[in-house]
Amino acid sequence: MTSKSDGSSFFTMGVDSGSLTGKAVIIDGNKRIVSYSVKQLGFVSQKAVMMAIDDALEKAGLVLDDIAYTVSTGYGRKRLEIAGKNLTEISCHAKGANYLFPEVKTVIDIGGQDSKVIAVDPSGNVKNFAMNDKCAAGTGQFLEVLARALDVELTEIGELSMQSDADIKISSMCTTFAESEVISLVAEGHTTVDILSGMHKAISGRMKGLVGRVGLQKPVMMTGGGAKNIGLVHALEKSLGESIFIPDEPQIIGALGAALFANDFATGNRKKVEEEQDLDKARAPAKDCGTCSVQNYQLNKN
Amino acid sequence: MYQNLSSDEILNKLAQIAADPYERAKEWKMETGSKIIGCYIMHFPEELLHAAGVLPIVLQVKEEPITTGHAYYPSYFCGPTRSIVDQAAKGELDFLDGFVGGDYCIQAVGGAEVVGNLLPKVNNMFFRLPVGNQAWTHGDIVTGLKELKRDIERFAAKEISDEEILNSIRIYNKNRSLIREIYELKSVHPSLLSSSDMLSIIKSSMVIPKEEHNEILETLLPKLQANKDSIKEEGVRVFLSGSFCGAPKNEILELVEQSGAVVVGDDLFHGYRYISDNITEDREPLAAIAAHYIDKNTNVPCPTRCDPKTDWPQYLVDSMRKYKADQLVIVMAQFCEPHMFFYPDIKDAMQEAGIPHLLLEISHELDSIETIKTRLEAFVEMAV
Ligand code: SF4
Repeated sequence: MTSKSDGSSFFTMGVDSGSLTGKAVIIDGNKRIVSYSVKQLGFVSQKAVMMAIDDALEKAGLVLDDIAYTVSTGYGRKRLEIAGKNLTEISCHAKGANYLFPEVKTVIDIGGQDSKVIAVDPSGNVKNFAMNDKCAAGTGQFLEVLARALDVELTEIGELSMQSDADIKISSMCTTFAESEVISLVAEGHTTVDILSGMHKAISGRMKGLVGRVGLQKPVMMTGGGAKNIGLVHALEKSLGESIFIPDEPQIIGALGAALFANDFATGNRKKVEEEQDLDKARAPAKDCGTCSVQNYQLNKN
Repeated sequence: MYQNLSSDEILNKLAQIAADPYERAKEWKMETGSKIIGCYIMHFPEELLHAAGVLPIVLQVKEEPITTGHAYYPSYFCGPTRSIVDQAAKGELDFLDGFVGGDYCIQAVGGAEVVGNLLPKVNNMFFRLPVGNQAWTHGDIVTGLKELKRDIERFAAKEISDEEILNSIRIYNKNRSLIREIYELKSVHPSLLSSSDMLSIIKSSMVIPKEEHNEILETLLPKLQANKDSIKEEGVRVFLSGSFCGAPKNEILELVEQSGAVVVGDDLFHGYRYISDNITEDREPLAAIAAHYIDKNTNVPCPTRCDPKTDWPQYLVDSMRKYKADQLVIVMAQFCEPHMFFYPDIKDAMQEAGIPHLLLEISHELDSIETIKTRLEAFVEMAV
């Protein structure tokens, strides 16, 4: 970690107020990560977010006033008052992933409440995305519920599932039904490791469908809490037939992207909110203006 | 009575009518002692019903969850058909005297059957609207109109003259023209009124006497025109497509605008599709109405009309250019077969034209508003 005294004195912060965790990343004016923090405290917890912010500031040896601009993202993004702007996790994960690995074309983010597949262009912009839109299936929450049913710690399920070579199918993608399916598998005498491996296969099958909606483009990076689950990563690599790049701290990618956006806003590299309002003037007229009644209407009026 | 109100106040009144869509019709029935016919939902010749001295209303999807109706229509059918069945099952449509179903979509046909059974005291009629656009289609539609005219005459116990139909056509044409003028204004000044306002205008037009609606619009239009120069234009320009029989939920429209977009045009049935074209007034009236069905489908193609001479995906690409829209938001009612059938072609056409689009498949019960919000915001962020 660097502190204020031995580097740039310009800082921006990204805060990811996720459904299960709060994350904060502080970068300096050279866009180097100064500090970060991940805190978990239950659903969209403001407290976890504030703890992550305080922790990141403390690690960096900074106070809030030292931060030139803050961008928030994640489920609770609208509620963070210190943020100058809020952006979706989708834009922020794309930006963060591109910063760490500029070649990346597909980002798979398995978060607490939802999963996303994002196609990223070489500048870190979102080209296209798909998001699980119906329920918790294929998300961190799905794993958490099932881990609880099996009485295993969430942090252990990845390693444990790697010990299995059984082929157990969990067909239900509804979290509640899958839970009862898991209970029946336990009753039938299947081992915990085999069932865990089946769960990971079930999720990767689901994610493969989501990837298909966007189109698989290599290289692939996985972000979010799900990427810390080695069993899930392996199952996903197998179902996609591709190796997946995992950053050192997959959970902070959204907050990192937000911090980078904050840098853009603070330095004027990206339009500030007020300047974004009047987009219309910058737009070129449509090609077939001659036949367009709206265009002519506009011209006549002007 | 609206003269002294501001445009916002008038729009609020229209929103109230739209929120409680059958109240004015019920009052009208008390005042006039005349009959009300409910149309289920798209593509009915309201002019013909109006000419018989009855009040045709387009039945509206209600946002409340489906409860009693579950027993009569399965949950894997589209929300619009289920919602009307639910209203009938709950007794909310007992005020109707007549009901017209149509065959533009298999789920609508089934729904009309069920509603017919649930409302035994209501005169149940059917409008056969032939699809396609072949040499014989026009004549076929005229025959369908004659069949409906025969049934309506029996229902209203009066003969309908050509003069009466023509008079009704004039009143409806006026309504369409006025709403189109508002559309023109909105496409140039998209922030002048919100898309929920636009929806209230169309919805209220569908459920109150058109003569009354015309009066309201004649008061509203100049007030809107007067406001147009004071409006600051802002946001990513979005074109809204889909959502056939049920209007898109206000909540979704508000999310689109809160995400930083303005809606510059639409092809919604509760939108431009409903008023895109007038009926010729200088032709034998039933022939003119039949021609209108073919013409309006050329203006704004509808997948339920199966017209091989129209190309809905291409129409959308052209509309994006015409309205200088940046992005296309498609609202699809879950389980809407005609829409699902066309979506792959729309997706290909958009990709080929380089137009970003977002598909929102909306279930009647709206189960994941937070996800929809994130998807809309991320989509709009792509254009900024
Ligand atoms: S067209 Fe779509 S929304 Fe309308 S009745 Fe058919 S399935 Fe339902």
